[in-house]
Amino acid sequence: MDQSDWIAIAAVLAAIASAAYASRGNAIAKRALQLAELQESRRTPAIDVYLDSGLWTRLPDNSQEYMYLVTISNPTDIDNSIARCELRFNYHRKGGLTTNFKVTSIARAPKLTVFGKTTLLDVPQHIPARGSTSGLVLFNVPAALVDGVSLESTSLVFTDANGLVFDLQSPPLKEVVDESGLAS
Amino acid sequence: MSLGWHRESIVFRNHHHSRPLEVVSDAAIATQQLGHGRLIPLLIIDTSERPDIDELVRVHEHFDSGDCSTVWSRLDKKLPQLGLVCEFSRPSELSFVIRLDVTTRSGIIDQIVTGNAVYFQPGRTGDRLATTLKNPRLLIQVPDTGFQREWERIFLRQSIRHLRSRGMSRKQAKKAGPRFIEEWRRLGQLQIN
Repeated sequence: MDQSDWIAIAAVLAAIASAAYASRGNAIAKRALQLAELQESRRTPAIDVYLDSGLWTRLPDNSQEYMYLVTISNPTDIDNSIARCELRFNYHRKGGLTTNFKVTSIARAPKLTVFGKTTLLDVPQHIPARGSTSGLVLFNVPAALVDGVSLESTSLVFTDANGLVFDLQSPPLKEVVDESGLAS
Repeated sequence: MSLGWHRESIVFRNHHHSRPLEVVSDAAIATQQLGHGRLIPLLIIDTSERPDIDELVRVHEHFDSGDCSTVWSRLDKKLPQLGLVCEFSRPSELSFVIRLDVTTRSGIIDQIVTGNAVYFQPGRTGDRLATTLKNPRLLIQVPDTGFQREWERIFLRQSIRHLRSRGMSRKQAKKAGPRFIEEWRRLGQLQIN
């Protein structure tokens, strides 16, 4: 082997070393990007809503009271708050009309104490970063609104402080009948 | 905020809902309880094909207020027709478009644009405010989203056309147009105390 061969071999080795170094740099950059994206995603507002249970009861004035036990978590690194909580009613009337209405949660104790000593979820409700809160959300639907309509489905609609809407389909609700007359 | 005509997609729950609703009649209402007694334009709309709108008005009676966003649109590039798109999010979620013909309804459109509000009343062909005074209606806020500047041009052009159809020369109509608009708006600013 003459001198030029050695130079060629050295150049190949240098190129291999350079490629290996670049590849390692690429892997580090990819991981850094992943971490940056993960960190960024933790700063994107989001909430997780867990629906523990839901009940409804008919009050003596024929209005309907809906109660949901909910747990709301904020998995992000920024504070958030629930600005609004609504119950959406999808229903149909005679003649095939299918439509909906929304009622806002109310801040009063339920007429029926079926969940024991559960605190009401005050809305607006602050949820700190990586924090959770739980409580009872209550809705009152006037009798005139539901008179003669067939309920199709209900869903809970939460709006956070950033205007993001979280729509949660409600499971089939259990009806509670007040046999003691306590709700009157 | 975008100014001038631009493309924007509006999502309707049902394809049928994008069909514009026709105005049956228009009027104006002034009450001391609302808007400091100023005249608020009213549109009676034919909702015979949209029972969900009748239902919205029925449901709305049980709520103190609702939420509705509005946007002005051009229904046809060739025809002088505007569409007022109303998108309700509370108490019910539904959308509809009201067709307003500039040649016949420029006065009421101007009152809506300058007054930033309109009463909406569902009705049927032949309905008039005088015969349906007790019918339920909704007050919709129509804030300026950049349309007012465009409207000034449309209204001036339409006023000149109207004056020319009344026998004025082009030059006279061009001169009288702004004055005509001024007088019309003075009429719209009437208040009851």
